[in-house]
Amino acid sequence: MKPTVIIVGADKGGVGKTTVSRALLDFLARRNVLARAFDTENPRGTLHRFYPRNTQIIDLASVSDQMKLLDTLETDSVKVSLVDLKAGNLSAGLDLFDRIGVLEAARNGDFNLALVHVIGPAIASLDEMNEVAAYTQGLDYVVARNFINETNFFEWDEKTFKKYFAEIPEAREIDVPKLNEMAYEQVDLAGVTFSDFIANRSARGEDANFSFVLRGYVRKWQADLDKELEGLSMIQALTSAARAYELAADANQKEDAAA
Amino acid sequence: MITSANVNIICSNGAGNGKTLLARVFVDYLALIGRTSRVFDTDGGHGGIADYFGAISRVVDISRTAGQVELFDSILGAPHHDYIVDLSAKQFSRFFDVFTEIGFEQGAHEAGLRVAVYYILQPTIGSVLSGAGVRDGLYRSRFIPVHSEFLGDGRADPAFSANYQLLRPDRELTLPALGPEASTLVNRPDFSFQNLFTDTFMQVDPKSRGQLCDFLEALHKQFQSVQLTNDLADLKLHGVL
Repeated sequence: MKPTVIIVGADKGGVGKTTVSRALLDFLARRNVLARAFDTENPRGTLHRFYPRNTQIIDLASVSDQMKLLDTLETDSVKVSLVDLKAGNLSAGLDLFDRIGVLEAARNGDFNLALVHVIGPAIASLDEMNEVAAYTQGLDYVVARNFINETNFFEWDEKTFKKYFAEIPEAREIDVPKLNEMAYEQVDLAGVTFSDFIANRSARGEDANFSFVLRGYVRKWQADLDKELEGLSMIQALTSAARAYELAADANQKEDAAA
Repeated sequence: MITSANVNIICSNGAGNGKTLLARVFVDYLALIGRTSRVFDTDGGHGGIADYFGAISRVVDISRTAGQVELFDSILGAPHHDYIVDLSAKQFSRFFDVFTEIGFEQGAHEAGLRVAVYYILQPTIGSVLSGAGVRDGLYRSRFIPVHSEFLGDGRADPAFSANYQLLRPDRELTLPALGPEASTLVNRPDFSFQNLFTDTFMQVDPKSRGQLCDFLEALHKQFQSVQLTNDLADLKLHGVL
C-alpha cells in the first residue's frame, strides 16, 4: 500500500480542524484502515488527548520532527499519516512542505497526499481557498465545510461559497453536519473517540455511563458524516486497500490452516 | 426475555382534545392493577398531568436537550416501571424527531420495554396524516389511534377513511364523551378518579357519577384488552405461543 498523508488544516482558528481530524481517524478505524496521527499543536496536543496511543505531538518547524513524519512514511508499518495542523498554520505548513519538496514528491506519485481544508462561518475562510489554491494543483484537495458547531452566524451563503469553490476545479467538498451542542460537549469532556462515546465506553475501554440521548445524537451525526466521507476518492482508495489487505490476510490464514 | 413494562405515549397533533384526561385515567388504571408508573408532563403549564400526580410526575421541556436526556435516559435507566408520557401538542413533532434520531425504540427494546403510542385523532385528514407520519417512523412500537366521542369520528367520511388506512392501527381505543358537569368535575385540581368514591366526591350528582363510572368502565375495559393483546403478541414473538 502506497503511503498516504492527510493534512487537516485552516488558517482561520476555531473552525474545527481537530474535530475533523478526530472524525477522520474514527472513520478510518471503523473501516480497519490503520492510521497514525501527528498533532502539531505543540506542546498541548488536543488531538493527542483523544488518540493518545497513535498520536505524536510534533513541532513542524523542527527538522527532527519533520523527519519523524516524512522520513518514516515508507518504513512505518502504518501507511496512513494524518497531520493536524495547528490553528492558523495552513499556508505556512503548505509553504514548508512545498519548500522541502513534499508536495512535489506527492505530485510525482511517491505517496498520496490529501489536503482537508476546514472552513468555518467567516468569509475569511473562503478567502483562504484562493490562497491555498497555489499549492493544491495535482493533490487531492477537499474543502470541509464545518457545521458541527453551527452556533455562529454564517457570513457566507451557498451562492458565495460556490463562487469561490468554482475557481478551484479539482476541489471536492464535504459537509460536516451539525451535532447537538450538549452531545459535542459531552464527548469533549469525556475525552473519548466518537465511536467509544456511541458504544458507551470510557477512554480506558471500560463501560461508561453516557447519556443514551446524547449517544443517539452522535450516532446519527456519525452516520451522516460517513456518507459524506464515503464519497471521497481518497477515502475510497484507502478503504479498498484495507479490504484487499484483509482478504489477502484471510486467504493466507486459510492456506496456512490447510497446510 | 418477555417484556412487561410499558412506555405509553399519549399524544395528538392538536391541543385540548383529551390527552391529559386519557393519561390521568391510564395512570389510575395502572395503579388499580398494582403497577407502579412514572409520569412525564411535557407541557409544564397549569392543568398539566403533573398537577394531578405530583409525586410521580416530572415536568420536562422536550425542546431542550437537557429535557430530552431527563425523559429518555430516565426511562431507559429504570426499565422496570411503566411510564406515561403526556405529550404536549406543541412538542409533538419535536418529540418524535428526537425519538427517531436517537433510536429510542431500539434502546427501549434492548431494555425490555414495550412502547405504545396512543394517538388521539381529530376528525380531519390533517390529523390522520400527522398520525401517519409518526406511524411510519415506528417499527417496533404499537400504534393505537384513539377516537374521541367528544371530537367526533371522521371515519364516516370516505376521504378520511381512505387516509385512515395509513395509520395501520395495532388496536383502536375510544375515548367516551363526558357531559359538561362531569367534565367540570374532572378538571377540578382536587379531583382524582381513584378517589371518586371517597367522601370528597360523595355529593356529586347521580347523573355525573353515572357518567364517570361508565367512562371509567369503558376505558378500563379497553386498557385491559390492549394489555392482553400486547401480552399475547409478546408471547408469540418469543415463541411461547
